[in-house]
Amino acid sequence: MSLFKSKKTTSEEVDAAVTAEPKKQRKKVNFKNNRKLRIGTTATAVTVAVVAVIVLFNVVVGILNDRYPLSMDLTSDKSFTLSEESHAVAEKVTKEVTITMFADKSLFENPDTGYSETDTLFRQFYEFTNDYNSLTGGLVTTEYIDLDANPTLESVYSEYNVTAGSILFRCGDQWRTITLNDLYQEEYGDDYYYTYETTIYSLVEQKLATNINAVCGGKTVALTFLTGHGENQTYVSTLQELYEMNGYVIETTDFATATEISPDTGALVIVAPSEDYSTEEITRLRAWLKNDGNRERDLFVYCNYAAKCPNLYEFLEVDYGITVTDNLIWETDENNIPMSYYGSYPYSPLTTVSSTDLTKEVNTSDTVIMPLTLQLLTAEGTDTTESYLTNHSVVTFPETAMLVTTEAMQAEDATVDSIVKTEAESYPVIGMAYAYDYEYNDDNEQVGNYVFVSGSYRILDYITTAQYANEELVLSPMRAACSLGDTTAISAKSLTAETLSFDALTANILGLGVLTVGVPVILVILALVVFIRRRHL
Amino acid sequence: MSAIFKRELRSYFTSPIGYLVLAMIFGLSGYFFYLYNMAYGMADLSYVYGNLLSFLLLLVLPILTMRLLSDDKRQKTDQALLTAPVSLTGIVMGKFLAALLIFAIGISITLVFAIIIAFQLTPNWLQIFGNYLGLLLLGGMVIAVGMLISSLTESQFIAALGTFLASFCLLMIDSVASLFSSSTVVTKVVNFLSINARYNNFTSGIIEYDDILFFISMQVLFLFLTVRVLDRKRWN
Repeated sequence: MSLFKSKKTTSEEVDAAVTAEPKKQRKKVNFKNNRKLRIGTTATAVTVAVVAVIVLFNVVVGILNDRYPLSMDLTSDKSFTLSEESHAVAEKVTKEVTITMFADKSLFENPDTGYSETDTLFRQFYEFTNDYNSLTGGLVTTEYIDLDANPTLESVYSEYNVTAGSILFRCGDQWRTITLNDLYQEEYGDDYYYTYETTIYSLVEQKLATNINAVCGGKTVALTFLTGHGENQTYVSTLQELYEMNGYVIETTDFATATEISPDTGALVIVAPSEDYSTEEITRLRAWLKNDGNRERDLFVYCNYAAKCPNLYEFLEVDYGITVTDNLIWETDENNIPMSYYGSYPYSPLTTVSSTDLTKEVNTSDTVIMPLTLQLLTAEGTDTTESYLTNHSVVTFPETAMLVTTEAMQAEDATVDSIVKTEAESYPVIGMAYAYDYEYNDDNEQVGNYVFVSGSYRILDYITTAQYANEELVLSPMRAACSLGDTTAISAKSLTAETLSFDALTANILGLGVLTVGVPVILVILALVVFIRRRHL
Repeated sequence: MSAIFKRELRSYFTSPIGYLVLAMIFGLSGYFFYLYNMAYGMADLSYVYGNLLSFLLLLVLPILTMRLLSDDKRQKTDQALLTAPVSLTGIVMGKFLAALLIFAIGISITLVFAIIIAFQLTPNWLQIFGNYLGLLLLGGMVIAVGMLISSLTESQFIAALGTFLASFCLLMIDSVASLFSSSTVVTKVVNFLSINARYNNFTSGIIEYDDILFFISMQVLFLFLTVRVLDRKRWN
């Protein structure tokens, strides 16, 4: 009942109006709220959609990256890029290969050991195994098993005799194991005694290629070092390390007692024996080289000037035309003699390397040093038209080189001036040579042996000396004669970075004084000035 | 957008913030360069880049981003900004690019270190630029996160704290993954989000395109969310 009727309202009507329940009002449709709701819903939907698209985008990119990894290796020596040789190994993989690293995956995926060389090694293993997976279409897979966290798993792999840090390569029934320590090699610098300088070389790529190749039934080349004749172990190790760093599998056999040599052996290496080989051993050596007419095996001999090995030398002379004499090469031209604070060393002459089939990697203008080198004689230049044997001189010395007997050299009272020197019967004097002896097998294919003889084993003292090409002189003949092919001729890469040398004063003034303190303090002062000037604004 | 960019850039140098941020970056970088390269003799700058990461994320970037949008809100100048004839995306991008430029100027000191090294050795400039790119991308991502957090509050302190916590979570995400077995979905997701692993690629000298796309897409994501926050405010 309206209170505002024109007629006079009675008090009862007023009471009734006051006590009456309010009428239900119709819900008004507010256009503004509805629009806000609509806009808000749309905005939320768009937000969710965009977030979903971005997440999906990243997921797709991640999947594509796993399938088709695309990355740029910005390191100066392409530390994380597989070489062409590794690509060749990957192309030949046709069966599933499983690489099991018995360590925590995070060590390799995101290494942070505090040592840059170790971090690089671990990272290389991770990257290279991923690359093999991509290159082989997933045939090469890598798994990480942390035996420290899961010790019970060790029994599962007991037949492979693995421990924490082992790396197991498996392909069907074939398997091989190496360890983390096999992934690098450490070389001591020339002045290690004073500077403790070492160089770390990464063998990760090489070991992966070699072992994947091996378990897949591919060709590997082993070099078997013969021992058991008083070899100088220091020089044996030096040479073994050099060859291993350059892709060869190294084996050692005591030829005095062993009856078999590894079937993968491509060459035998004899380093500075101090005892002669027996006639029986020479017979076995000869038979191994002949290989039932298939040959294709080689022999490398580094002679020891202080030892007499008549059987071995006779074998080299009769079978391969290389005579090892009892004379040391003694240079008289000062230009060919290394000088030092302690004097000159005419018995460590300098020379260059001849251009031959086995020395193609050596620059003929580079200098090599040949300490304590026995003179060699070869059949080179003689008429060998009826023979399948050829001799080649690798290192020679000119007419200024004279000869000194080994007895005179080893005499207690021998001095540089008093020692008796004689001229050679013919020049140039040969210090290193090789023979190639071949025949035709049943398939009428030419098969042969390279027999390489160095009159000095002390050339190995200088394989890390940059000014001499001794390393190339040692490596080139092996690579040429006993080729690894495309598959595993992967050289080791140095991980040891260059170093800076700032004296303490420069470091403190520039590094600490200017860069750490000086420039920031200037900026803080500027900040204060700005603050003071603008605080009232 | 360019007007917003210039205004924001000018404001960094008309207030103490820009100078303080640059001082912190220069000081930290200089210290690590002195320690690893001058004192220890390492020729590689990756140690400087690697050690800078935590300090930049936890200390410098929260300070750099704390006032990006919260200051406008506090001073009530956000209304003028939101009603200006500039798109919200333009506003956000202008501020983001200004902050990113300050950050880029700060970390450019590492290029000066490379020049100092060049007096003794030939540095690998490609790897150094790769490291710089990685730090810039990661910094851009954290700046975008900081902008979003700054847009949600008018307190600079809370904005800085929020960015600090977000950066802390991003840095610690690898630790979370290690708690789970490597085959779980959680680990896979967490590994995907790991900025440490992605950044380590750059410092190792490896540039992977998925890392670049990840950082850029995260920047886009957080900048987009910031635009949404501002849009919601405008309609409210």
